[in-house]
Order: sequence, then structure tokens, then C-alpha cells
Amino acid sequence: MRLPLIVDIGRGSREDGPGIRSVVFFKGCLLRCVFCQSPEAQELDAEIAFHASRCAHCGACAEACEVAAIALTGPHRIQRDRCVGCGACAEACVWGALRRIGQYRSPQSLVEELLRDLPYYQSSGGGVTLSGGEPALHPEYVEALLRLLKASGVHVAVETGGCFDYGAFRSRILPYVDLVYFDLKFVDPELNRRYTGRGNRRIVRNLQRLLQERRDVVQVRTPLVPGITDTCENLSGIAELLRHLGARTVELLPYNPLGAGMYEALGRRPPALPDHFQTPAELERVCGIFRDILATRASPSRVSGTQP
Amino acid sequence: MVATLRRLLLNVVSYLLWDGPVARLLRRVCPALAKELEGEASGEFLGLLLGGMGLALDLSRSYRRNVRGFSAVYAIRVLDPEVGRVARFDKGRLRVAEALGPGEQATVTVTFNDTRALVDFLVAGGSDILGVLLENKVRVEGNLNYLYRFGFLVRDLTRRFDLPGGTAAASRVSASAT
Amino acid sequence: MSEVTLRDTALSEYADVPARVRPLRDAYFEAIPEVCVERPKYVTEYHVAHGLLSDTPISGLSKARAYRHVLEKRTPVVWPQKARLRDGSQMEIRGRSLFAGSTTSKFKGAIVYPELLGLSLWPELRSVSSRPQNPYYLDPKDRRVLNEEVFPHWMDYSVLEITRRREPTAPYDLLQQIVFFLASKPNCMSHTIPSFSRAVHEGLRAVIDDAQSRAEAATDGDRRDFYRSLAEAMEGVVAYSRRLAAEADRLAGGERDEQARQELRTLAEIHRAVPERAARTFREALTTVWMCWTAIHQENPNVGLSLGRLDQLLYGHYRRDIDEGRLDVAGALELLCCLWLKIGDHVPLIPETGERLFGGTGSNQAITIGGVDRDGNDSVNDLTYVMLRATELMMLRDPNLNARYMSCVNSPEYLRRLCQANLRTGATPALHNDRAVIRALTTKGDSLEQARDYGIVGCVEPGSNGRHYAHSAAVLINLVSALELALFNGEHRHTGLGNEIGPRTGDPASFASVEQFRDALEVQIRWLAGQAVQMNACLGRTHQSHYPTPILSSLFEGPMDKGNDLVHAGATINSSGATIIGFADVVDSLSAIERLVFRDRDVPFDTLRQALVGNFSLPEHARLGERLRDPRRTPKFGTEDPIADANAQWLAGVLDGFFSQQVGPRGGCYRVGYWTMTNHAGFGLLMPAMPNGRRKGENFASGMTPVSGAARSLPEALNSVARVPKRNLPSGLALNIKFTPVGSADDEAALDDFAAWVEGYFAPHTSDPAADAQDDSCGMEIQFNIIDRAELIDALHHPDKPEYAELLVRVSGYTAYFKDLTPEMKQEIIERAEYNLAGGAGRLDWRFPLSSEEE
Repeated sequence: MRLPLIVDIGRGSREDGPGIRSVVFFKGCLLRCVFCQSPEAQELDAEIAFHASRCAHCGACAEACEVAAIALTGPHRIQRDRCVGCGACAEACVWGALRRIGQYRSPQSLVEELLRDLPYYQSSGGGVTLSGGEPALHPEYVEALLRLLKASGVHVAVETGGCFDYGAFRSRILPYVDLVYFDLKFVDPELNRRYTGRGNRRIVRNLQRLLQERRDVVQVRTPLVPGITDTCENLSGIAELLRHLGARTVELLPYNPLGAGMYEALGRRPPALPDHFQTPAELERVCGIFRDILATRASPSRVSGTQP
Repeated sequence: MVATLRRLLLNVVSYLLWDGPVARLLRRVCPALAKELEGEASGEFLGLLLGGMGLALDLSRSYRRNVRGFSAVYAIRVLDPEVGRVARFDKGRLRVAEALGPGEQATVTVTFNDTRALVDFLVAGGSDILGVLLENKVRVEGNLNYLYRFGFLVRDLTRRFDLPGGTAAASRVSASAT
Repeated sequence: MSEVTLRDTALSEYADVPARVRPLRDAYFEAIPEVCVERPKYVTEYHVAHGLLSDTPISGLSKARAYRHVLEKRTPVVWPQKARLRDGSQMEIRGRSLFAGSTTSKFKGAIVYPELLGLSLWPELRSVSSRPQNPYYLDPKDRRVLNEEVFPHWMDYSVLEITRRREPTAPYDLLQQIVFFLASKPNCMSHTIPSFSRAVHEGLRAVIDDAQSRAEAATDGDRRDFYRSLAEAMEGVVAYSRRLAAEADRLAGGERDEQARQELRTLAEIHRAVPERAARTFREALTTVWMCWTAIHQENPNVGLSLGRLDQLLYGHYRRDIDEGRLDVAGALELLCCLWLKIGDHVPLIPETGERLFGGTGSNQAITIGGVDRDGNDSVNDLTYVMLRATELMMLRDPNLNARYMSCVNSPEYLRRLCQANLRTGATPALHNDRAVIRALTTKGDSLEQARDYGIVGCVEPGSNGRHYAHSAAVLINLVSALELALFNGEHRHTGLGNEIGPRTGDPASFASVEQFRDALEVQIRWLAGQAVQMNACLGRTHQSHYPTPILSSLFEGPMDKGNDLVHAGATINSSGATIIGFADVVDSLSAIERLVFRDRDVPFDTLRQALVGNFSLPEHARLGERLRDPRRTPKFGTEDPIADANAQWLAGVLDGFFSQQVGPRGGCYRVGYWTMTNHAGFGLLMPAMPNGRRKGENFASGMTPVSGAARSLPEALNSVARVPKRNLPSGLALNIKFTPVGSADDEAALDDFAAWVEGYFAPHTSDPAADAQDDSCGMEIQFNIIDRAELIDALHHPDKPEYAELLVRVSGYTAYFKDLTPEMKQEIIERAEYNLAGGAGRLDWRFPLSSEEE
């Protein structure tokens, strides 16, 4: 089994499912959403993040680098075309300006860490959430992990962008999870291609099959990105599609600009998106629109009638 | 004989004067002390302080109440610049000497690293007292309660007779603290 | 037995401070404390008149007569009329408390104990009224009393001076250098919970009669005198109460307001009845406690004296009054609010020199609520909730409310209510895990019943209620100094390298393994702790010869049966306490040395030592400093790093191993605790750079809290602390956690979350199914600050804004008013790691049903 890279483990989280949870962020995703909040989890391979504000210009990184990928002048410390992600520079940087993203963890060591918080999972009705990146890209590893977690009775949630091999998901992941957070961003395949780099046929099909087989564990979510996913058209499309597929509920995720700094640290251009949280009024407006959509297209016949 | 007469005279004076005139007199008689208290204290400070205290005890009946029935020998030393004095309190008077008499034992021995520590500790008050203690700038051998009393005598001297030291040194301390 | 009949345990309908109490509470926050000289004056008068001031021991009977003299002469103040403002002017006090009498003659007073450290106020007699930090008003007339009639007599007879004279070999030099250890016996014994049970249920007359009949039956003179001392002391308490009754009657005679006159008559009637006779009503029972409390403070300094499990003691009276219609919840709340304010009517007298170390400290009068009873059953009752509500409404530093919780026995609703109180007050109550505490106490020999009946003393220290004299703060060990001595081969940078202080344990640069370094550290710890124990033993003998405590002995389980005063081991359970300062910083330093110097071997010890001497300020040491501070590179307590956790457990084991073998002055072993009051900031100011990357002058972490910034997440910090075995923590610990505030204290999601954190931390952190191991591995204590960082910073810069006058924060084991704290301590609180509680919007609002079957 090839070990995936783990970006991070977030402990004591209360935003990734019910109760107090530990969240495992996997590295690697097939989508390239322009509004991605965790760009460090997109690539499968290890990367180096550089936080310029912490740099003390000591030069230790350049000394440590064996492939001469450090440029001490200029805004970006790493010459990405040369960097092999070995992490020698990060190891040498005591200031925390350079960080290697992606660590190999055996399922056993990961579970050992996750189980330390069992008392809080139990007291809060929480558990473990696998997130990413796309955890479903690593079905064998995830299966090993989940078997161990289920042996200790831990509630497990998986967050997915929906772009995965259904067969592997069904046989290796689905039997062990209590909750699947399935992100549906667009109904229009063209929009999906424009904003995530891929069409959405596979995503919709995966969702359909999931809902047919295990509707009880699926929670569909739509992230609200101002002007991109939160348009009236997209939201009504989503509502219609989900009704058609038989989803019971959908959750809207308020826009969160926190990933922006990471683009810079990875030497990429941050997306041209708002840099602030939506105000309560803005959120209420979107909510209002969505409620209207749900109210006006309540009858199933009309839903199927407007199917694109 | 001269000393006894002088003492008698001062006693009479002290019964006639109240603290206001004593204060003026003290500032007049001890301009050097006032100056020391106003500025950076020098090596002379300890001698002047004890001299002023002795004079105040002689001149002011109310100040003398502070030491009624009190007898003790303080050996006070400053290391830099090196100054040492012995202060003997007895029968309402203070006698100052350069050193302990033969076979004499000090009730309490206090050693300050420098004059600044002495001023901060005895006169200024404020949080610098702790600084002095904690930074090992003062070493006390013997009964701390005697030192507390001595501290009161010094501060009562500067406050009662409105000598500049108390407030000046205190404001210096608070200025350095901010 | 648990009886909760309240429909709403939050008592939300009682939304305000009762009208009667409001003006009193306002005045309390406006007034500055005033030094009261009555106690020192009458105590001195008696000692001088009876020739007690000498090296000859003072008998308990003489002390009892001295205190009776005080109690019979001190002014009976029914309702204080005036108080002082900061500018020295007087203010009128409006408002009539339901309780008469006071600890001092002042509205808010400071008591002077010239027998102890009272004389340290001497240099300040002229300036204490106007000093910038925490001034006390001292009337010029009273200044003369202290300067001329009180202090001169005690110069040679304070506890410390008697000890110094008699015990020339005790380590005074170390004590004077402050950075090694503190011993509290020069200042107090206190630190215990008296028993009010007999006073309330039988009345003091019964105690007096019992003592007298035992005196008559006694065959040896000492024992006879001891019993007579109890009777004598209690006569004094009764006399004071009767004088209050007479004064109330006198005032009633001249009172024109009909209602006030009636209230005075009622007060007179109550004070004629109690504490002499058994209390018949809730109010009488509270009055008995209050009268005993004021009397105890005439004898024992107000340091860590705690009231214990009042919700258990008083529930019978409360229930009966409610059932028989004499009392309703509003009335009970009014009584408790009045009493809470009374309890805070005196403050410790801290000389300016002590402000840095103890600034802002109240007298830590702990009250304990909830938990299990002696049989292990749920003991939460209606009064538990009424006391909690009174605490929320009053928002005072004293009393210091502590709540016990036993999972699966106490209800989850109770825990949620405790969390809600924390959200509402931002600082109180502290929460104690019965399971862990009972395990810690039984390990040290308490019976299961005794352990289950624990109350909190002072900050966080558990002790069996009314029967355990713990003097839990007997010695305070600065653990960082032991580390320093190990690093510098028995020398200490603060006292100057080149001066040998501790044993020569070798130059660590020559050590081949971390075990050798740990051995050296252990030798230094044992040496330092040994010095403190020796000092405490010497001081303890002086307390026995010169400071017997007949008042406290009368109100305690044990002395009556044993025939001994408390200072002579009269209590049912005796122990002495050691508390450890700098725990997390030493664990991290040791772990840094283990990892960098001995395991990875990439930092030579000499390089580390040079960096320490240079305070990491040289350019070549800056990188090392960063590396040492970085929790990803250097093991830290609070991150579950195996090296750090192992060192934490090793250290706690070494300290408990040493102290549990030491017998204290009253018999019984030492018990170790980890709570630091404000000392972690005070000592931090003095101590040089450390191997964990801490620079000179920076604060240590408080109590057993991990160093701020070490833990990336809350569970890591909680788990590391929970795994330190409880058998090594018999005197408790303080874990400070800061939450950022949520929108509303009644936010259900935040409450769920809060309670889950506590419940999880209190649960076992082991997979070992043995009950013993489970109890050993669960969290013991946790306390919170729930306040916005920006607000604290604003309060730091604008201390005079009116909204900050009452800003209450959790220090370590107790709460304090933020404005009273030293700059270092304020900074420490601001810098504490912050964690978020869930809550706010309620995520379900964002979930939309799609199909009609859902609706």
C-alpha cells in the first residue's frame, strides 16, 4: 500500500461535523477549485511553503538545499521548478518561515494520535473527520485507518469533493463511515470545468449512486463563493438536481477567505476573490434567495420539468 | 559636660518648636542633605542622612516620639563607594560613629551594594525596594524588624520635614518605571 | 442526598443584584481598604500587660484570653456608615445588610498581625494611603497607634525573629534571597477549612459546656488548660455577638425609619440567639458561620482560610425554611449576596515590597459546592444552585467559588450550569473532578469517606472538610532554581556564579547521558526542598510555642477529642503543603536538554550554557533560542510529546517521592500541589534565561498549565496534564485555560461544547481498564478565563475606565480584579493561549430540507 501524504491533523475542531473532532487532511485532489481554501492539499507530492514575514534572512536554507532551489533574493524563496520537496530547507529553518507540507504517517501511528482524544469524542458525540484534499483518492489507506478507528467505536465522517473511483469508495470506505460530507459546487458542467478544472459528470454520478445506496449517511454541502457558486441560477440548479437525486437536505457553507495566504506561500497566484467573510446581511440575503428557490419549486413535477 | 549642656539646650528648643520651624531649620542647617536628596546621592549621603536624622531627633519632640524607649545599634555599609557608619539609638538620641566599639555588637547589619541601592531602599519606597532586595543589592544580617523601623524613621524624616528626597527620589523611580 | 426541586436551576428570573445589596456592592467597589488597628492594639495590650512577650512559650489559654479580650473590646459595627475613597475623602454608605458585625471595624478593612509579618508595613506607615498600587487608607491617629503602641513591642517577638533567635542553623540566607523557596509560616498557618457543624447544629454554648466538662475531668494540667482555652475562646465569640445585639438595640432606639428599626430589632434578636445556641433558621445558620468566621480572623491571618462545603452544611436549614414558608428563593439569594459581600470585607495587608509577588491577591476564601457526599451519592441540591447564582450576580474576588463534579453521579445539567456560570462571569467557578481528587487523597491515607467529603482550601487544594489541617502553602518551591543549580553545578546566576549554594553535582558538559543530568537535578531538588522543609520545621516549632490557635481549634474536628490544639497536631488529619512554581518551564528545559544535548547531540552543553548566560541575545545564539522555543523542534509539555510527558511524570514523581517521605511540624506528611498564585510572574521577573528558550524576566507558566504557545490545540494541553498521575498531586493543581467569549452565555452550542471539554478532560486518559489506573489518569482541576484579548489590552492601557473597576480575571487558583495586578501579571494573562468554543449562529440554520417527507 502506498502511503499518502498527510498535510495536517487538526485536533479539537468543532467545525467539521458533530461534536469535538480530529480532522485528518490528506494531500492530493483531482479538482483545482479556484476558491480552494487549502491549496496546500491539492498536489499529491510534498511541497515547501514559504512565509516571508517570518524569514530572518539567515541563509541556512540555501546551505541545506542540495538541489540549489533556494533563491535568497526576490519574494519567493523557492524555485519551484527545481525543488524536489525533500524538506531539508524547512528542517534548517528555525524561524518557521519554511515548512514542508506532507508527512507520511502509518495508519497505526495516525490512529494512535487520533485515539488520544477519544474522551472528547465520547463526551461530545464527536469523532474523526477525513478531509483534504480528497481522502477518497487513497481508498486502501483509508480503509486501514477506518478499520482501526471503528474497532474503537469512533464516529467517522469523510469530506469529499465527489471526484473519485466509486467502486473503491463503495467497497473500502463506505462500509466504515457514519457520515459523508459530499460537496456539490455546480450543476452546469461548463461552470464546473471553468472553476474546478474538470467536468462534473463523475461527481453527479457518484452522488447519485451514493444516495441510492446509503442516503442515510450522505450530507450534501454547497460552498458559497460570492458571484461564483452563490448565484440564483446555480443554487436553483443544485436544489433541483438534489431533489431529483433524492437528497433530503443540503447545507450551505458560508464563504471563508482564510486559505488565501497559503497560495502566496506556495508561490502561486491567489485567486481574485473577496478577502473577507460574508456579513450576516449578505448571508441572510443568500439564504433568503435559497429559501425562495425551495419554496417556489416545491413540486417534483416542476423540478423535473426544468431539468436542464 | 559640653555635650550635656548642648543636649539640654536642644531639648528646651525642641519643646518650644513645632515641626514647621524645625523643618525650615533643618533645611537651613543641612543644605547638603537636601541637595543630596534632590540629585544623585553621593558617597556623602549616608553620613548626611544619619546626621540629619540625629539633628531632627534633637530638635523635634514629635519626631523623637518615634524612638521612645528604643535602643539599637545599626551597622550600615555601602560598598561602592565604600562608606560605613554605625548608628546608635538610645534614650531618644542618635549617635553616629565610623565603626563599632570594641566588643560591641550590631543589632542589625545592612550592606548595600551602592548608594543608589541605599536611596532606593530607604528613601524612595515604591517597587524599587523589592528590586533592591531581589537583585541582591542589599544584604541584611539580623532582625528585619529593625530595618523596617529604620525605614520608617528615614521616610518620616523626609516627609515630616518636607525634605525633597522622598518625593524627588520617588518621582525618579516612577519615571524610570514607565 | 441530592434534592433538586428548582424548576430553573439557572435562576434566570433573579436577574439583578438584590436591591438591598446593590448600594453596598457599589460602595464596595468604590471604597479602598482601610487599615484597622483594633486587633493589633488589643492583642498587644494584652500581651504586654500579661508579660507574654518573651521567649517563654505562650499557652493556648493565654492566647484564648488575649483573643477574648479582643472580642470583648473591638467595636461592634452593625452597619458601617463610612468608607474611604482613593483620594482619601470619606463616602457615606447606604444600604442595610442582613448581617451585622465585621472582620475589622472598617467597611473594607485590612487586618494587622504584628506577631507575624505586620511590622513590614512600618516603613510605609506614612505612604501606604497614597501608594500607587493597591493603597490602604491609614488614619494618622491609627498610624501613631501602630508606630508607638504596637510595633515597638513586637520587634523581637515576631514568629520569624523568635525562630531566628532560637534556631540559628535554619537556612535564613536562602529564605532572604527569595529565589529559592518561600516559607509562609512567618506570615501564617491558616490554609484550612474549619468545621462549623457543631456551631450551627448545637451552638457554641454546647461546645463551651463540652470543653468545660472535659477540663474538669482532665487529670493533667496541660490538658485542662487546653480545654479551658477552648471555652475561653468561644466565650469571646459569644460575647462579640451579644455586643452586636446590644448595639443593634441601641441603634434601634434612635432610629426613626420604621423599617430600619425593625431590621435592627431582628438583628438584635438573632445575635442574642446565635452563635450561642443552635441555629433555628437559614439566616441564623448563616449568622453563626459569619460570627465564627470573623472570630477566626482575629486569630488567624486571612490567607487561604476557606469556608468549605456550605451547600451541604446549610441545606437542612434552607430546606426547612422553604418547606415551612419562612423563606423563598429570592430571600435566600438576598441573604447569600449579603453574606458574600461580608466575606470580602477584609483584604490581606500586603506591603509594597510584596505587591510584585502577590499583587492583587485576595484572601482566597474558598467555598465548595456540589460533588458527592460521604457515601458517594449525588450531593447537589437547590442551595448549590442558589449559591452559584449569588456568585454570578455578585462577581466578587472573594469568596472564591469552587465546584465539584462527579461524572455519572452528578447530573450533566449540573455540569452545564457550571459552564454557564463560567460563561456568565468569565472567571468562576473553578471545576474539580471528584474522581481524581478522591483518588489523590486516598493515596495519602485519607479514608474514602473523608476523601469524598473534601472541600477546596485557598486556591485549589483539596482537604477533608473541617478535619484536615493542611497548611497547604507551607513552602513554595521555585523549581527553576533547582534546575539552575543543576545547570551550574550548584551555583546560581542570580546569587552570582562562583558562590556555591547547592551541592556540587558536576558540570553537565561532562555528563554522558541525560540520566546523569536527571540525577543531578534530582539531587538539587531534594536539597532545595530539604532546606525548605527544615525552615518550615523551625518555624513550626515557634508556632507551637508562641502561636497556639484556640479559636480555630474549637471549630475543628479533632482537637476536642484528642485534647490538643491544632498547632500540636489536634486535627483529625494533619499534613503540610508544598507548592511548585515553574513546573512546565522546568519540564520543557529538561526535555530540551534531553533531546538536543543528549539524544540528537547537535547542541553541545557548553553552547547551550553560553546561550543561557548571554540570554540568547548574541546573534549566534538567536537561532538556538528560536529552536528551543519551537514546539515542533523541541519537546514541550502540553503537546503530548513522549519525552516531555515522561519528564513531567518523572518530575512529579520525584517531588512527591521526596515530600511524601517528609514529616511536617504537626505530624503527617507533606503533600505536593501545583498552583502558583501570582508567583509565576513574580519569580519569572527574577530568573535568568532557561533551556526552554525562555528569556530573562519572562513569566513562567502558571500552576500546571503548559507554557503558552506550546500546545497547538486544546486536547493536547488537557491530555498532557491529565496524564500526570493523581497519586503524585495530593495538594491539587491549577490548569488555566482561556476561551474567547461567545456571543451569549446562554448559547446552547457553546454550553454543549464547554461541558464536553470538561467531561472529556475529567474522563480517564488510559486504555488500562484497572479502576486505579483510570482514576490516576483523569483530569483533576480546570479553571477558565473567558474574555476577549482586545478587552484585556484595553483594560491594561485604560485602567481607569469605569467598566474595568470590577473586571474579574482568573489568576491561578483564585480570581482577582485585573486592575490590582502587577504589569507582569497582567501581561501573563493577556499572553495565555486562547481557545475557541463552538457556538454562535447554530449551524443547523444552514441546513435546508429538500423533500417534503423531511418536514
